[in-house]
Amino acid sequence: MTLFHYKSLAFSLLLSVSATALAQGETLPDWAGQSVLLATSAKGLKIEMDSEIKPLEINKIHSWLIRLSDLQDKPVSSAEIQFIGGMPEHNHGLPTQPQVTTEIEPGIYLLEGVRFHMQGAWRLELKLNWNSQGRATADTATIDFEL
Amino acid sequence: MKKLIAIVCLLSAGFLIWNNLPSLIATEFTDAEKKVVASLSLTALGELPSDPSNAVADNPLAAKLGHGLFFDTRLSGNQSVACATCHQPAKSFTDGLPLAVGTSVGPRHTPSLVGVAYSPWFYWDGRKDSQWAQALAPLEADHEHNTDRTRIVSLVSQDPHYQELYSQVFGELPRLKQTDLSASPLGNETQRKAWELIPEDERKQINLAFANIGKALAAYQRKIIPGRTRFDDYADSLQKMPGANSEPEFSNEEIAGLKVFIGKGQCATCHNGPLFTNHEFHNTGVMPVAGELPPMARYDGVRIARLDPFNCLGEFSDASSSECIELRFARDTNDLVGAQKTPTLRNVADTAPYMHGGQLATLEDVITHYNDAPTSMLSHNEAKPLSLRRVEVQQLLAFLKTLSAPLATDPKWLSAPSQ
Repeated sequence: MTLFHYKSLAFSLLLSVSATALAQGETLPDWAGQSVLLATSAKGLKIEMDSEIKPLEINKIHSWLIRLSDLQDKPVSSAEIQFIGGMPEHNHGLPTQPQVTTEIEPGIYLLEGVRFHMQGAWRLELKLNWNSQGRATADTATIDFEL
Repeated sequence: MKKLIAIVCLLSAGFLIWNNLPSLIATEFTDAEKKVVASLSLTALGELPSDPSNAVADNPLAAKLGHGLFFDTRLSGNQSVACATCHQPAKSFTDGLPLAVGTSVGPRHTPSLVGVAYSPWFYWDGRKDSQWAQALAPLEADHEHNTDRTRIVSLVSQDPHYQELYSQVFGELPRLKQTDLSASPLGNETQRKAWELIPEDERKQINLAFANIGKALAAYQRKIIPGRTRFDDYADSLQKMPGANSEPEFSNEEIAGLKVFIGKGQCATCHNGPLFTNHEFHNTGVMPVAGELPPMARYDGVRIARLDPFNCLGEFSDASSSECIELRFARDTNDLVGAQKTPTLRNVADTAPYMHGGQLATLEDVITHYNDAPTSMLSHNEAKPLSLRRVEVQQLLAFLKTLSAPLATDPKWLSAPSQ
């Protein structure tokens, strides 16, 4: 589990080395290119999450791009991603049920239907099923941030 | 014994002072608190969101048609109930009653329509996903307008003024073979049988015209926008001031109440953003309406919305599937049992009584309810007891009264059109 604060956007930008290249992709949405949350999965996948709205704000439904890459920085394709979010302090989840609807480019997935309805501490959890050197791998990642 | 009495007296006096007297230290806001206050200001309210499911949402002629329909009592079974019967402009589009009274007493309190076009969901349980789909349901509800879609379409077809406006916005109205027919798939047995006897293509034409009438009513209701309050002016000036108390337009009690609102009172957790609502659904342990079982509320509401033929994904919607993002990704989990919609607090002092069944008569009752956070009869109360002192309750009350102002709506929309 890796903890990042979304407000540390400048730091995140430094780590998001290929963000500019992503923004130039023909099939990627025009808001691609600046990761607002970063994490490492339990089994070492690098996860970059790029929000349609920057900075993040409450009460607006929007999409995210999830970029998965392995330790060699190669895109992780054909992964199954389940996305869950909530506020542990309030014992409730997201107001919506976001879903990954497509893999736009190898390793870059579109997550639709995200909305945050309260300010405060949020926790996002990703359950990942991906293929690591021919082996099916179940993986998880948790991202905590303050909105 | 005397010592004991003296100690008890001292403790009692101490409690009374603690409970009732405000702090002698002036209220100050941290930078983080100022940011929260700024997020509540009307200045932070963006443009009215588009409604892709309603192609005429911002069409002036559609609003004009909707304006007339909104105040027209002919849109009811007994010719005496209009939308404006319960949604009265002078009361911030509420009616001052615990439960709405249309053609008979209904099961829910009339919600305010102020700024409601910003919401993705409608009804206390969110059973409708657009303002136009919402507008259709009361027309056919037996306790509200108690009429039916066929009679509504017939009325618009026979009124020259409505007919002209309708044709300018939507094109030709269907030509009904029988103009006095009462028929609907949602009516009583007679109305349902009559509906089944209408040829399928004509039924579809009636449904289409009915949906268009809803879209015109929505175009009108999008005009109901909150006006700037004393709070908004204070919130904006606070961003520029070194100290909170230098603002003469806001009393110390109101400032302290604002502090409680965003802090200890936890009100801004759900009543957030410039409309003081997150447009979401929460179980806050409000007692059911007398004689009613605890409602499933949003848990059922989202399922009803998905099945609604007039929803964003339905054949009468103008949106593409990709634009129906709220409906496609709506949550339906068990924690929504008993969850009712967070209402706006704009003009809240003018919209008593409160809650989905009008169960609480005054704002003080509402604050007391949240201060106690009683156990929910169904599922769990998301709120926790607040331990507000009596003086803090009064401060909060004073603050809530600063959220009222005349609407920012052109006055011509606030009464029946003269034609």
